[in-house]
Amino acid sequence: MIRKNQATLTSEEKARFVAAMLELKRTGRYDEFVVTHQEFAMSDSDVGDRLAHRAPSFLPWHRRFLLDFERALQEVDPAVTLPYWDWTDDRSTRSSLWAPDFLGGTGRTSDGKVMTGPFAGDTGKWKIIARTDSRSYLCRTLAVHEPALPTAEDVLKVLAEPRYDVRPWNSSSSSGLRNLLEGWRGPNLHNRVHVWVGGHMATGASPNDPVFWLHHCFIDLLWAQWQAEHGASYEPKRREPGVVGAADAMKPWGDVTPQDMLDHRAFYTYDVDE
Amino acid sequence: MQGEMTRRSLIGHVLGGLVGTVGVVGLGVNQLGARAATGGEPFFAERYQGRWITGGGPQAQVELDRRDRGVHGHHGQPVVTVDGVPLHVMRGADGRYVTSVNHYQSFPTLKAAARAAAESLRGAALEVAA
Ligand SMILES: [Cu+2]
Repeated sequence: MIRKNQATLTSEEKARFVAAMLELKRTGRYDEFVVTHQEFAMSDSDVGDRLAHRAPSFLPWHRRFLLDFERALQEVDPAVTLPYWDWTDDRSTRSSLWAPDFLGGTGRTSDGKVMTGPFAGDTGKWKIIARTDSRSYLCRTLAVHEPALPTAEDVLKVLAEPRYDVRPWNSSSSSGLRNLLEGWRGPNLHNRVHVWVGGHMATGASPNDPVFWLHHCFIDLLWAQWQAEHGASYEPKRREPGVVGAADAMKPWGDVTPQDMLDHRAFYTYDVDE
Repeated sequence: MQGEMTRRSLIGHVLGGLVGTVGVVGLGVNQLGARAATGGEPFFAERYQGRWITGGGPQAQVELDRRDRGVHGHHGQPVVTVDGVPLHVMRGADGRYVTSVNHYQSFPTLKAAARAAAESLRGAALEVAA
């Protein structure tokens, strides 16, 4: 199973990915993922228990979250894998990523409503259910609240971090791959992309926008690239206040540990893997 | 309206925004003044981009909880409302704030967080999380 750069997908691959997404939405499976993410987003706190964000388990938690989602897609169409969006390369609002045959474009100025592509509200096939405000249609404000996506240079700077994570294991950790990749410190990678897309991507219910999966797939790939250079380590080794250690179970699964998620090749490969 | 309001009309708007959705009644000038004076960020209330935003904390939350009929905040947490509906807000380790509307950004003050939410909402109403 190979995950590919979205820029290299054939129109048939794009169409099948879109069709599988719409089918998960139709059956209600899709919104279960949005709800799960939103619940963790609301409770992950710098000073309390935290798993999906602001914590060392940010990367393994999302790796498993994406894997579950990809498996759900494959129950619909076994040929589908998650594509990734390399935003250091596809940096324009006119990228083919945002074309009507794939994710559709930015939202209109008045309310952010996406008007083009298969996930536009007016298709009637992409109703926003788990949400923070009254808008029941997908919203985007590309490049409005954040002018530029992170650059390849920003990425290189973050991938040079020698440690996986450091105390106090939250959004104030001053170094370490995890917090710099998440974006609370350093050049701001992951967080900045959520803000650049805007609309639902900026909220705790960000998986409402299909681009969530392509963005996090790239974050996952960057983690794999860091591991190839620095080793597949996870810190902290043992549980510390508020955060899980390498061998502790993560919610919501209960039987998945960060350690279980360290080698992505047990589950899939990337088209750029060596 | 911003900055131009008299104190009396400001209080009127505060009550207008809170009554009904939050169920706060009987807050007088003295209590609002006390709120601002008792630690955390001063209570604020203003019209911003057509929205009525209020907030303060963490003392403001304690005041709201005391009269609670709708806000289920955590004690000792800051509070922000947009048109009377509570916005989920969290204080980070660095003292900055993150909200459910702008979950991947942090803001130096509650007022900045409330204003950003008002901008992101583009006229939409906040929905109280289940
Ligand atoms: Cu994310």
